[in-house]
Amino acid sequence: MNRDKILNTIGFSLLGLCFLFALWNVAFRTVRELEPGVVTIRFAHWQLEGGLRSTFDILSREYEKICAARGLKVRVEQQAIPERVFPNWLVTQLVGGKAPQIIAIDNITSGSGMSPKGMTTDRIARYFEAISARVHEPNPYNIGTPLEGVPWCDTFVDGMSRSYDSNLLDYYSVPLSMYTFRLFYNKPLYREIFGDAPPPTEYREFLKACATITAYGRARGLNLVPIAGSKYNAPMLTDYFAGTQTQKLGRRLNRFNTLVSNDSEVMLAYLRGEWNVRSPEITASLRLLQSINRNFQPGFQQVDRDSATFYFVQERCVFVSAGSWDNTSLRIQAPFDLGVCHIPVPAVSDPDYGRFMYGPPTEAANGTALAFGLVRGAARSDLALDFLHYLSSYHGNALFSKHSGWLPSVIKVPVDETLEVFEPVIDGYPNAFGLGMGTETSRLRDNDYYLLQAFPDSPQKFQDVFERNGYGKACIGDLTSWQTRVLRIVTRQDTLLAAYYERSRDRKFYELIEQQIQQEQSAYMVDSELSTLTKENQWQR
Amino acid sequence: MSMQFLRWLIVAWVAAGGCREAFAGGEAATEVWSLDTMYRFSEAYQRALAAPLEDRAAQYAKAVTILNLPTKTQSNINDAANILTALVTADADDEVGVCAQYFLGRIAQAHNLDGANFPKARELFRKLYRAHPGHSLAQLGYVQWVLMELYDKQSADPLAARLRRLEAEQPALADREVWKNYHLVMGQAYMTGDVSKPRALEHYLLADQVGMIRWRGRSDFYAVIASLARETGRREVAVEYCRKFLRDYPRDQRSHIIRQFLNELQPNGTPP
Repeated sequence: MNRDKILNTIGFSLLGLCFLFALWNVAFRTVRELEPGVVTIRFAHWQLEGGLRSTFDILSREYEKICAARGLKVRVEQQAIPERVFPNWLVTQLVGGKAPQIIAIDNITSGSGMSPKGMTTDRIARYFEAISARVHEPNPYNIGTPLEGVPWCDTFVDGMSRSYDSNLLDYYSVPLSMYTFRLFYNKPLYREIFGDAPPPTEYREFLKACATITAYGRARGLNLVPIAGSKYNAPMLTDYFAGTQTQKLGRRLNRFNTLVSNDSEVMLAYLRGEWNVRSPEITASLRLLQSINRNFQPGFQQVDRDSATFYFVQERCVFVSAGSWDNTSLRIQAPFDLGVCHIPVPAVSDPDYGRFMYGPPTEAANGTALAFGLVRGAARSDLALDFLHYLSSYHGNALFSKHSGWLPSVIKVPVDETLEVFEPVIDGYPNAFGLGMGTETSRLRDNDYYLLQAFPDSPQKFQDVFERNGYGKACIGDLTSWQTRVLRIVTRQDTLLAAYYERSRDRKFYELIEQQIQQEQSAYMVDSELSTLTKENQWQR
Repeated sequence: MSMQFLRWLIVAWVAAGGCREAFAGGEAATEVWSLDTMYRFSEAYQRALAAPLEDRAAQYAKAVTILNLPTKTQSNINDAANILTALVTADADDEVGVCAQYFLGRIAQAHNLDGANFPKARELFRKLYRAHPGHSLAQLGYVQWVLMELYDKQSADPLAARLRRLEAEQPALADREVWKNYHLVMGQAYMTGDVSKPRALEHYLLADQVGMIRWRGRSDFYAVIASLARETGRREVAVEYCRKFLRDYPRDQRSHIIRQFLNELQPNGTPP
């Protein structure tokens, strides 16, 4: 037998084995589901971070025990679907009527009206069960806990505000966690360089620490850089720093006194000439960004999230910025003791950056996450809802947080000592805007971003090219797309408005009116102002 | 069996058939609306197609559903407008006729793909409000008319003059929720061109007599009133709304700022 034949035989055998394994898996599941008297609850999500799946397994077994004590034979199965295929998997399952009873739902934030995981308003309305009627009733699993008798929605840190779909006017999901963003560091390495000094708490200390790390590496001939960055986590860190510099400017441009910066207001203010790319606040934010960028490994913008993690766990850098959701994954992968600290933003007393900010940023807007929705018309949806009640109960959520290393979403749930550093900072000031506020402005910023790297000592080159490349035009483009999108949503609401009017003329009808009028007024206002600015020949639409 | 009895039997049979048809028609409209609320517009449309043509409620539901049929085309919008026009022509004053007029206004204002026709929409809403001032949708049409008057790109009048003119109308909007939205619109318009912050505040305070329904919208609303009142020297109002904000939104990203406002406004922690 020649070499090719052997390889082909091995290949076909492996293929055959895989096929048999898949067949056995499907058949085994089908047979298990046919087991008399056993109810199967399946839930799906895309979170493959370390520790989470095992936590869900623990919670599932606990819930099965609770059901067994009630005389109910229940089996809970989780389906962890890779993030990349989740949108396609979701559509196939929903359309094919084979979806599990519970599916993770993410927020629809992108301009296309579709969430990164393929969720749209249409899909939520069509395939998911509204749970509004239940959220004002107490969670039955909270009996005998500090949350006994409290309406379900009020047991969450954000009052379930993120679960509420403002287009459909209903609650659709139950959150289990909340996210914050922190700086992780290699404790033994940090100690080796800095002795017993605590991690930096403020920008200047952080810069000094970065300089010391670079010098330490050079002196010992080590390939050591201060921060591991990637195209995923570096912008999160630099935007956080840069956002502090527009806190005061954002408030000045806040024409409607909402006390929080609004992108359309900011872009219109740019077109009116109330700020520009050379404004002291923007120059400061760009310089701040450059000072942080200098401390990432070379080529960080080209690598993905896993490469940055790899760089960090290989001890080739001291810091990595990551979300609370990466806490357990990093702890599992890192062969060293892990430290976590807050992002060390400039102090208000900072000679260069302090004057543009009110103070440290607040994280109160972070809200809840890792939310699950109930699939409409699924078998035993009563038990699926009961399982969600359990997961989001005082005890269930405490167990979740304890085993996963993720923050709880439920109030009064004790947080493990190691998680305290992740708890959101409520006091503080909202960070304001960056240069990318929509598709066009972000594209322009990203295209010219390399100039901040190529000329690291001053943002001037970037500012020259950025304005020349048409930031104003990009603002007009983003404002126009925003206005078009809003008007599309508004017209869509008309049919619903008529339906609610005919059905009952209740709260939903008036809530929709409130929303529609407000959105329509904002769109008209933008259109009217853009028209005036065009007439005055300042800008071309 | 007498002829008289037979005649009665026939009349009863015909009447029962009519009732059954009418009942089926009413049912059809209810089903269409129910499917619409679930974004199942194509199915709703199919259901409406099966309803008899003389069922005005079902025809109206069909027209409004067509507006959301995928893919949105001008031909569909024209079909919807034609159905609504026929309903209004048959009877402009019954419930269906009034609702149909409102949506004819909305088509001219927002739905036409070949561009909005604000003058026509304004005319339709104005006419509807004059004819049926007590109807909620006619009042809502009035608020839409106000919006178009305020942001009319063709108007030579400055925004301040338009606001004064509209305020002089003093509309009697009996539906309190619609009345609230009128004041919200006016308040925001006063803020748009920085026309008058005190007037904006007055409108917002009137709107709050009814109160905002949306949870998130209410947080903005309280923050706006608190900061406007603070800026315009209405200390008591500012304190009241700072407190309302902190009571309802303790975890909002603005709560620290609002707490600072409150400390400034009542330095010793005492109410004014």
